[in-house]
Amino acid sequence: MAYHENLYLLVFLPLVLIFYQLVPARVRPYILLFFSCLFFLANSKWIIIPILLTVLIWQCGIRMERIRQETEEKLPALDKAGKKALKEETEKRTKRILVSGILVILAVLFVSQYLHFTLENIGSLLSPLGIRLEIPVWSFFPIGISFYSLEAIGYLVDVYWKKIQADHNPFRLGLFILFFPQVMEGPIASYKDTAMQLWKGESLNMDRISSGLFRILLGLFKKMMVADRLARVVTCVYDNYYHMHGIMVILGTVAYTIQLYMEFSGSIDIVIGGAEMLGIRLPENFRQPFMAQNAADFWRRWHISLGTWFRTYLFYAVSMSRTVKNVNKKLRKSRGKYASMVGTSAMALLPVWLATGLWHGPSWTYIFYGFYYFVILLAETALMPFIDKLEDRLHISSKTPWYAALNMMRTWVIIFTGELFFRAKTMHQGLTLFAHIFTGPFFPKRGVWNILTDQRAILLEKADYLAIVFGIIVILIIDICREKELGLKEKILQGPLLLRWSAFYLLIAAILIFGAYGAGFQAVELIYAGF
Amino acid sequence: MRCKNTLLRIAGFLAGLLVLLLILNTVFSAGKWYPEGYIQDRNARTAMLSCEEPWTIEIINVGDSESGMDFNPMTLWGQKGYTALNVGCDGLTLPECYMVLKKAFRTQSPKVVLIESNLLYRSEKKRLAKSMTAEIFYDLFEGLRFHNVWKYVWKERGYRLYFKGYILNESSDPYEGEARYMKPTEEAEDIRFTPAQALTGICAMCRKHGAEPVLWSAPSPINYHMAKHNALQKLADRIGIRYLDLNLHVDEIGLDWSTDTFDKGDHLNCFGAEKASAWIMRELEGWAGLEDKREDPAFAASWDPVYARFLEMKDLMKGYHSENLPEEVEEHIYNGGDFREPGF
Repeated sequence: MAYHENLYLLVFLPLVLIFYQLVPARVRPYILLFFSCLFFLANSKWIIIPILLTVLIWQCGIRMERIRQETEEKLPALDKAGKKALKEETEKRTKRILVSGILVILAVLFVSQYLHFTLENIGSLLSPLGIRLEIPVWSFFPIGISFYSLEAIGYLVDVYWKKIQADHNPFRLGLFILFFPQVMEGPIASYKDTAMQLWKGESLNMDRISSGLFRILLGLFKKMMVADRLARVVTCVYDNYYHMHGIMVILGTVAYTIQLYMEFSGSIDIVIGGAEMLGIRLPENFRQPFMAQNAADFWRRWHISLGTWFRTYLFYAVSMSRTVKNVNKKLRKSRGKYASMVGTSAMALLPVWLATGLWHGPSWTYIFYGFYYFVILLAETALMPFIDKLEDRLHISSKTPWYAALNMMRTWVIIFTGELFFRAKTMHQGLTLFAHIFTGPFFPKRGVWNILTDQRAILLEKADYLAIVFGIIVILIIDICREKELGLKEKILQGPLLLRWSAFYLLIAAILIFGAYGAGFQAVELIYAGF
Repeated sequence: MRCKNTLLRIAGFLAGLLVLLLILNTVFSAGKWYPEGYIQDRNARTAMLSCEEPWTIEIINVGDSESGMDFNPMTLWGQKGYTALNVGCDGLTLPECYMVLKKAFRTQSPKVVLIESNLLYRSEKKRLAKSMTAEIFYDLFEGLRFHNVWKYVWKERGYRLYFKGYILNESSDPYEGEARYMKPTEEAEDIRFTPAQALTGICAMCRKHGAEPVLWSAPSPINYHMAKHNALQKLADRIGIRYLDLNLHVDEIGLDWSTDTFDKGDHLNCFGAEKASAWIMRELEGWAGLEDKREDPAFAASWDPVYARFLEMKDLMKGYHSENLPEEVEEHIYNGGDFREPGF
């Protein structure tokens, strides 16, 4: 039962809303928890995993807090040296709990996601030596584990950093981990921002329901109008990659990038809309990523919650580590300010981007994807002073329209190249496709349009392409309005009843008439639900 | 007061939505688009059901592609004057089967409902649940089922030569495996609880509407073996319905696997379907009160032209599948630009 499916939208979500509203406020969080468990079970039998993770972080949090409380109680009776020693001891003990907690979470994540991949690679390394490794078939995949593992780690670190108090209520923590609208695809939320909202049990409210419904419809529009149709072009190009001409590779990769955006941001719209109906504000995950001026800007606009998590819990932690600080000092002394800036950036960025790549799944293509962005971002950091100087000399700025457009297009090339490898099943596939852009005939003899409308290969008709173009234009207009902060959604939702309802009915009619569903279409599974 | 206003607003919005859905029902009604050749996907047979003359059908055949390809109502009309309709289609699920029969019983009172057994093996729970929810909404708002009709603004229409649900296909690709594929065994391949329960429900609905359900297995060495037969026989006995397994009677039916299949034994072509349908017809003869309608002028006026067109097309097909005709044959068939489905 995924977020875009009729079973979720027409049965599950309305049932949750009805039950939620019917019970008293103090019972509402439990209703959410019950339905969250039900949702999880409908998608995976491994509910024991998030439950155990909840118990683990609940206990770790309480223990860290208890140790600190004991220290606080003992401190007044001690002299200065004793105080210092006790504080150091407390720090060590809490750190031990934190590290153990994180290691357990990472171990579960490793076993479910990466063990098979690791064994496979060890097996291929050992095979030249004549050693054959028997690798069992793995079917242990609790949905959303990559998402709630990060949330659980975030909670533990926040307690350790004293940003939040440990939660003594295991049900609240359980709801934070399992909350059904976000358990499958994120956004990765912080305990501080969401847990208390989830526990409030606020009554439903017409404004929030309208706003949430509008967001859900927009998400469905993106997925059903554009993403599910483009999926066919993408599948055709990537499944037949050996025979693809340069132009088809480019079209397939651009189609995939748009499909991924429409699908992921669309399902996040459904997630945020569903939560909004229940009075819960989840963090945004996208902010017009294709209007980014460079790769760093792109990652501030694409999968924002993942970027924020890695920035907060890995990038800063590495940047502030003793090793990086020492290297920074040494480089600054020996090679100057610029070299130290580039050097320390490299040291902090490398683990972040390798982790980002690996987070997406156990595949060399994802590791390459992470490394690709590490190189690009490092290059951007290293070139920044020179580009700034050049801009000054030429009297241009990032606000100069033609220059901004040029930067945007340059960023597109970076994004598309990354996505080409991201979508590839193997590095060989990715490299072959990439090579086809520059080698061999660029245009197919049959003509691009003939291939795109080939009923036996892609199964899309001319009318489908028209629907895709229409869908992209609508979303582009909405994204431009958001970028310019015109508040289009707010204007519609606060407008007169006729305008408001017309907008809803238009969206619904567009989805029902032009959406990719029913005969001739197979629902495309959510891409990020597989991570 | 505030609560009342909120409820009124919700009711108003839902009423507007209902109007929108009813408009879509009218705009995309099967009766309007199917006879003109605008509905050609797997919904075509459901659409055909909406357009069939009420209370005229005696036999309804339902199932996945095995039933769609292997049962030809024209054989039954040509040889015995039974009015049959084939509503089987590719990948039909049990919820779809239930709903298509539910829809059929609104305008038809068949005496026999033939249920092809292969759909019982499409039993993944999640898929069934999704299909059930979709079918409930399609049943309420049928326009949504046919919403893809809008694409014909940019597409040439045509028709797949449906003859009361049967698609003419003369192409052949022989089955070269073992001819005696039903090897005796005591084993029975398990049929899951959900499909077994669904079949029980479908049979109960048929009986409630005065139709006798019959489970049958199309001859297919690719899809059937003895262990499946044993399980299906057990299930049929438990529900108390007749079970016809054509795989046990291949010689009696007269099937020749070198000429009667178009995809290496998975499905039959029109020559095989004719033999299989004739065998089923003989099994049903004098059973459940089936009558020869050829002498009835009202039936003859409607069915004879379809049958005549079927025979004509069979001659013209020259060994091709109707969905993959060479241009010269296609031109000949569509001569005069008559896009209307036969019989409408």
